[in-house]
Amino acid sequence: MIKELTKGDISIFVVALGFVLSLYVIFWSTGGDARHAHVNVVGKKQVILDLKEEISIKVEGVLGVSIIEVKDGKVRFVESPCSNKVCIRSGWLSQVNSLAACLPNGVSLYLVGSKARFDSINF
Amino acid sequence: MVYPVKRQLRLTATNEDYRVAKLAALAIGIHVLEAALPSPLPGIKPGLANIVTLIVFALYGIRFASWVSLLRVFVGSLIIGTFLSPTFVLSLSGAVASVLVLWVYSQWRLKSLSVFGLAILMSIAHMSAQLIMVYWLFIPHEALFVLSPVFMTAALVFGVFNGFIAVKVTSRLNQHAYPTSS
Repeated sequence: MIKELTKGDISIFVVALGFVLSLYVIFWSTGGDARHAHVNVVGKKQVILDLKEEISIKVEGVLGVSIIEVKDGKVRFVESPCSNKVCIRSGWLSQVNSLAACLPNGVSLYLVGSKARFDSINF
Repeated sequence: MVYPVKRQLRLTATNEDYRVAKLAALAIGIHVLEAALPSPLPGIKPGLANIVTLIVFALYGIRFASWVSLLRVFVGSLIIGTFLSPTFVLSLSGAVASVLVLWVYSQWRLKSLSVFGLAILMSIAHMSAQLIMVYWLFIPHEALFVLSPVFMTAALVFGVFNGFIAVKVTSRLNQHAYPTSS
């Protein structure tokens, strides 16, 4: 069985394996420590928090007030008027592309790295 | 008074047609059986019917392989009941990508690959085409590609698996395992 394989087969297999492994590295590696947190509230302007600061903000959402806390480069939901508390259970977030959201209250939190990406919607 | 001449269109099946039909029937059978297998994740399938395409390519060349592959997609989807559904679109794009790999290989006239290497290339191409189609038509969000390592791992594993089967079958058929571009 093995002796029927050619050098070309082996190299194709090695290249394919490398390709698959590189996909894991590209898509599954964390983007490093985040610098900013985008706070989005339904129907309101986006608020950008600097994670270097130590701050606690109150956000008025659809149901009521959510409290978001920033400390030591991390950010979390402290309080939210929703019933499931999924956002609070997301805990402290510090990595780029991390996400926490309180859907009932319409508040979401998205972490970005050093380069803040803008698109036409932001302007 | 002039009567119109009744024109008759005669369709005669050649031996080649019969051969394509037989091989396509084999591929369709496997395709339908495979549709009954449960899958841990939508989109992950062994793709056993592609072994038939590959063996047909190794024995009879690219023309037969593309016929068998495309007939398999069309007739298989009619039998399962997914014709013109998203499943069909993905199935077709995967099959077209696999056949394109075989076509490129036959044009280059490389002799350094056996059906094993081709099986891996085909399954990776199959999965890539499907991911691109899903992104293009159904889920246009970058987060889709976070799933790509899972899908590509499955493609590689089943590509290797199918490749071994194809090598076994072609050598059992007493043919050399190196596809000729006839």
